Amino acid sequence: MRNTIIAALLLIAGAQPLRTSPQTQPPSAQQAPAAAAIAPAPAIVVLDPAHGGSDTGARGPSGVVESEIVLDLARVIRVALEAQGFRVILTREGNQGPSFDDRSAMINGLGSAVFISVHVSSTGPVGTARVYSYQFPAAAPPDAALETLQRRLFEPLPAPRHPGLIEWDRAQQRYVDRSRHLAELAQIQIAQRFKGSPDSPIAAGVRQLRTIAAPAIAIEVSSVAVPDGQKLAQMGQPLAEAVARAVVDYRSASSSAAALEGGR
Amino acid sequence: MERHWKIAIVILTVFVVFGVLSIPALFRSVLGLRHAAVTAEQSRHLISQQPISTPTDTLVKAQLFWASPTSPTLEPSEIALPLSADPVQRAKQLIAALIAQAPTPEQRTLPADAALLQFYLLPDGTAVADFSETLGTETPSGILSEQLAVDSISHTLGASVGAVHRLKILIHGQESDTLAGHLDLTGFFPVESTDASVSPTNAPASSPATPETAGPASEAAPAPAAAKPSSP
Repeated sequence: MRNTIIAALLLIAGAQPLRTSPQTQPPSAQQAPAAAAIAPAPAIVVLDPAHGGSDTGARGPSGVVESEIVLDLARVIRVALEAQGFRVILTREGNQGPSFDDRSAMINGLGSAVFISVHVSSTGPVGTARVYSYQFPAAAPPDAALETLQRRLFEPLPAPRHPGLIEWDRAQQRYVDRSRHLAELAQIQIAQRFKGSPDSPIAAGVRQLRTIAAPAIAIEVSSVAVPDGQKLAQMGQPLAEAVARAVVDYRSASSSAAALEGGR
Repeated sequence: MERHWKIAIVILTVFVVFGVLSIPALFRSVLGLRHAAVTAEQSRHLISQQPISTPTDTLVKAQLFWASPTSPTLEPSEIALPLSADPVQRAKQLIAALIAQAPTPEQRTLPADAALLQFYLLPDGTAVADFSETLGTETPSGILSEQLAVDSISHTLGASVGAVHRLKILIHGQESDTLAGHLDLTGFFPVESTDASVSPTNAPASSPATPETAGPASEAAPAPAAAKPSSP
């Protein structure tokens, strides 16, 4: 299975210039190696309404089903992102149930994109939302080292151990700093719109994020315990605005860093 | 009416009367069977949740971590438990208490029907907790709730079993991709030890290590702010 995935990735990597738009095309081989390592500002957002198919996710006592709510939320977020000029891809458009790897494959072949997985929790204060990024403990910077983290954020990515290949099971490892930064931007926007939400994102082992070779976050809205699903639907628009704002901020920071690096 | 019709009606009437008279007895039998029916999962639960008692048990005030009633975090509760000096038995006792003695249903982090099937401890401080399938099927689905479930185990072990440095969770003897659809179970969870009574070097490995769990010692993993597995 893993060999098949790696082979598929090699094919995708080979065909990448044909698949990406001019906006997102990776730097050509003629460019300087340092500049080539700078991630171009992401113009594609892969939105992942979690679960689907036979996997309904969390279920509330009033009949609220996570897989349905997250699809509605993702559709609202897509509109807000498209209004900002992003190309948006949903990992599922209906009640399909792609696997974790299927969802990862939708972004891992793209040159420059961010991944946002949308969830609804079983617990937690209703009307709040938390943002998660994946963090491997060895690479986890303590909060006090945030300044160092900010400096590191848009430096060239460390060279892959096996150039041309994505280490699928640890694909997120090279992107943890960027994911953390995107999570912080998203959590700031969310905390402003949903009172009671935490001020800082949380590092947790969200399985879906581990195999994403791009900046990736998960947003979990609370919760399916609402007496009426309408309450969650009402969170859609402010959530969409928060996500769009965060991605715009992330993109502009990323573009500035790339321009700065190119000017050196 | 002809004679054979009369006989048929009499026979049918006898059957109907007999049937009506036997309905209460049948009903009682069905109810009795329903009460007696115990699923494999329930049987396993009954067996594995027998109180664990060892000769070295002493009554200790142990810190157990359940969900806070006021915020989506964990909070410690001190309860008196008879705990073994053997770290494996001690861990089993603590996890059994974590499942069975939640102060309120709202503070519960692990399903009431979940059972710890086996607990292994390797000399390097790697613990392997093998739970029944109920842990995966009954834990409320969600990043937050699954994270609280794993954190409650690792914090509770860290507070009272100093020999445990990292934790691997299995479901019915198998590695599971996630706990209940979100939290990654393929790696090891760092356990921050706050119990100085046992050092990892003198921790006995009272159960054999399975090949897939016998790995190198954890390298000073930082204390977890939340459940985040280290690499497999």
